[in-house]
Amino acid sequence: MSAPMRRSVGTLAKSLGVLFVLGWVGIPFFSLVSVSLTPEGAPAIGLGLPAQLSLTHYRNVLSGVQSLWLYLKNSAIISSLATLVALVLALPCAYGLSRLQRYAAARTLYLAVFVLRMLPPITLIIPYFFLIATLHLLDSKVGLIYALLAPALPLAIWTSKTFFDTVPPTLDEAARIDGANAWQVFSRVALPLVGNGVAVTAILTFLTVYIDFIFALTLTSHWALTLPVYIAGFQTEYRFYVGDMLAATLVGTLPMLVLFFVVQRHMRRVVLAGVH
Amino acid sequence: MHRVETDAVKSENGAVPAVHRIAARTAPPVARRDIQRSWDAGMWWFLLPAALAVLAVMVIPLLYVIYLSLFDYNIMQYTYRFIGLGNYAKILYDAGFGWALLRTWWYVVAVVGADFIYGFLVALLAWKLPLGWSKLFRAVVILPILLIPSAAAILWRSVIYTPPYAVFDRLVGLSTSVSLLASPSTALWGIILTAVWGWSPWVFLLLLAGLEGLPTELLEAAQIDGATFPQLVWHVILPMMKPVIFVTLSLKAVDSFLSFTFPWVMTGGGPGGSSHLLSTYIFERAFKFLDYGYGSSLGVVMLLIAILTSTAIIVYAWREGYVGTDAA
Repeated sequence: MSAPMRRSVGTLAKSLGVLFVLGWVGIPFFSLVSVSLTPEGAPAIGLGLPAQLSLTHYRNVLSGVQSLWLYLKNSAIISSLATLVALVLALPCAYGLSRLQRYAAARTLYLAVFVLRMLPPITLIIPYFFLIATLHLLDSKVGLIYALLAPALPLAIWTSKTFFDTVPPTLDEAARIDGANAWQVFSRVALPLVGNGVAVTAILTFLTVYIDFIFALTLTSHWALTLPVYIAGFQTEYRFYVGDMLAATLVGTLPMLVLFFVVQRHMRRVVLAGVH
Repeated sequence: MHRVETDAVKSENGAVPAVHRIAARTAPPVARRDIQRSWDAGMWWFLLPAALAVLAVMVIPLLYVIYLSLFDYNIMQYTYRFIGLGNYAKILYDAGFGWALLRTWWYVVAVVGADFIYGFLVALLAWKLPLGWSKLFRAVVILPILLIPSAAAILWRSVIYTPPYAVFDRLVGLSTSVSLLASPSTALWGIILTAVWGWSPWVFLLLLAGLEGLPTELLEAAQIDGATFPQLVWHVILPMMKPVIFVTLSLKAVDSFLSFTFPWVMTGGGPGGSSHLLSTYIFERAFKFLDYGYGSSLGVVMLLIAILTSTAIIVYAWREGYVGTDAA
C-alpha cells in the first residue's frame, strides 16, 4: 500500500471511530436530556426531541414535595466528612509507609492496603447493619460515614503514598538535622510538598464515596439518605417518574463534573500508582 | 516545590533513578545508621491511627460476619441458633449460588474483555487525533463516568431498554414491545452492555495515560524503520504497555467481580434469578429474605475469593515491578 493511500485509510478509520464513539456515548445522554424535558403525558420519544419542551420535571425535583435538596445536602456533608476523616487517618499512614519501605514489613503492609481496597462491600454490609443498628445509628450520617471509610481509607492511603514517594528522604533528613521531630517533618516539610497530591487524593476519595450506592441503600432510609439512592428511588412499584429521575440525575452530576476535570490532569500518576 | 515535582516526573519516566535506590546504595556510616534506625522506630507510630481504623471498620466487622455465619439466623422464620458449619454445608447444595458464581465469572470476562477492546482502541484514537480535537474527544468519551452509577443504571433500564422509549431496541431494529432486561436469556447481556458503557472510560483513561507515557524516541525509530501502524501497535506498543494493561485490567476485573449497583438497580437479579451475580444474590438472601446467617456464610465465601484473587494480583504485580516506588 502506498503512503498516501495508507494515510487516507488511516483518516477514514479515525473518522469512523470518532463517529461510533459519539453515537455510543452521545445517544444515551441525548435521550436523558430529551426525556427530562418531555412534559408529563406527552408521547414518549427517546430518540428525538418532544414537540413541546417543558421544565416541569426540573421544577418537581428542585422544589416539589420530593425535592432533592435534603439528599443532595446529605450527599455533600457525608461525602465531605468521610473524605476528611479518611484523609486525616490516611496521610500519616501513607507517609510512614513511604518512609519505611526499606523494611519488608512495611512493604507487606502497603500491599495489604490493596487487598483491603478489594474487600467485597456486600460482605461488610451485613455486620455493619447489625453493629450500626446496635448503636442506634441506622439512618444517621455518622453511621454511614463509618461504613464509607471501608472504601475510602485504603484508596486514600494507596493514592497519597505515591505522592509522598516523590519527596526525597534527604529533605526529611535536612529538617531532622535542623532539630525537627518526626511529626514536624511530616506536617511542615513533607505535607506541604505534596499539596497537589493531597488534593488529588481528596477528590478521588470524594468521588468514590459520593457515588456509593450499596452502603447508603442498606444503612439509611430518609434522614441520611444520599442522592444515588434517592435517584434510584424514583422507580416505585406503582409508577416510574422517568422525567423527575433524569432531571435529578443531571443536577446531581454537576459536582462530579467539576471535581473530575480538576483531577483529570493527574491521571498518569494515579495510573502508575495502580489506582483508579 | 516545582523543582521537586519535575524531578518526580523524571524519575517516573525512568530518566533519573528512584531516590530510594540511591539511598540504599550509599550506605551511611555506623553512627548515622543508628540515628536512622531510632528515627524509623518512631515512624511506625504514623501507621497507628489508620491501623486502628482498619481494625474498627474492617477487621472487627469481618470477624463478626464470620461469627454470624455459624448461626441459623433468619428473621422471617424467627430462628437464632448455633449450627457450626451448617450454613457452609448448605452452600454446597445451593444451585442458585453456584449459577451466580459461574455467571459472575462470565460477567467479569465479558466486561473486562469489552472494556479493554473499547478502551484501548478509543485510547489509540484519542492519542492519534490532532491535539485540539483530542481534548474535545476525551471530554466526550469520559462523560459516562460522570453519571452517578445508579442513575446510569436507571437511564439504561427505563429509557434505553424499556418501552415506550426502548431506544436501544429501535436502533438495532429489535421489536420494541419487550425490554431486553425482561427476558431471562438476554437480561445479563443488557447489564453487561450498560456496565461497559458506564465504566469503560476508566479503562480508556488509564490506557491513554499509559500510551502518553511511552518513550517517543522508540516509537519514532520503529516508524522510521517502516513499521505500519498496526505493526507498531502489535509489536511495540502492546508489549511496552504490559504493566499498565495488567494493572488496569486486574483492577477492572476485581471491580466487576464486586459489582452491585448495575445488576441490582437494573434487574434485581431477575427475571427469575436469571441475572443474579454473587453480590446481588447475597444481598437478596440477607436483606430481602432476612436470612442473615446464611447470607453471612455466602459473604464469607465471596470474601475469601476476593482476598485470594487480589492477593495473587498484587503479589504478581509487585514481583514484576508493576507497582511500587520503583515503577512509579
